[in-house]
Amino acid sequence: MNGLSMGLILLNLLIIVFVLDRLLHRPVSKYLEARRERIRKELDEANESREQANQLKKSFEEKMQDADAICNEKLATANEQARVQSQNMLSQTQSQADELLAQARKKSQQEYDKAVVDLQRDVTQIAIALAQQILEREVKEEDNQHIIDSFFEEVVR
Amino acid sequence: MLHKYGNLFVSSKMTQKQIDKIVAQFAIRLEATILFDIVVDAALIGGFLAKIDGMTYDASIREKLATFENITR
Repeated sequence: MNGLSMGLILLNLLIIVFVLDRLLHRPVSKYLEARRERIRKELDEANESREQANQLKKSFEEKMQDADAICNEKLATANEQARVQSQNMLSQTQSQADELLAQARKKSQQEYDKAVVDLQRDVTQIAIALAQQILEREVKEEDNQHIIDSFFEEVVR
Repeated sequence: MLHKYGNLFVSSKMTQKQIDKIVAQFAIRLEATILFDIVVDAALIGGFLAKIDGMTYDASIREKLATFENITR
């Protein structure tokens, strides 16, 4: 191999390198650069989306905490109102029961008193009827005399 | 002497002597001669009831029983 051949080989090599650079390396590099740029852009967008998502998540969690607090507060208020209402109803029911019991006792006492009075009256009437029957049979002349004497001594003065 | 009229109700076991005593006592107490219309009333049980010039003098056992009944009522 002489120097000319070596020069031709070198020239061919340079041509091949030039052609490859023009036809393959530059488009591929350009494509890769564009792809890298697109990927970086997509990564930026993904980061931004993740950041937005984190903010949304944080906002959601805060709103959930607020909602929980409001819910708990309303639940506590409702429980307190229910407790107070229950207490009031219990007190009212107790008062009504006491009043009914007092009325029942009063009525019972009144009926007992009336029964006692009725019984006393009946016993008195029976005793008087018996006394009348006995006196009708037993009153004698001297009894009339005693009545007359007593009357004029004590009543007619 | 003043004359007065009245009704005298006596129990069934009242004797004439007792009736005379009643009439005499009223005459003394009221200072008048009392002319009684005398009626025997067994319902009196004992004693007598006299009505003179609108006044009633009840000395009967029936009245005493009624008084007792009113007191115990």
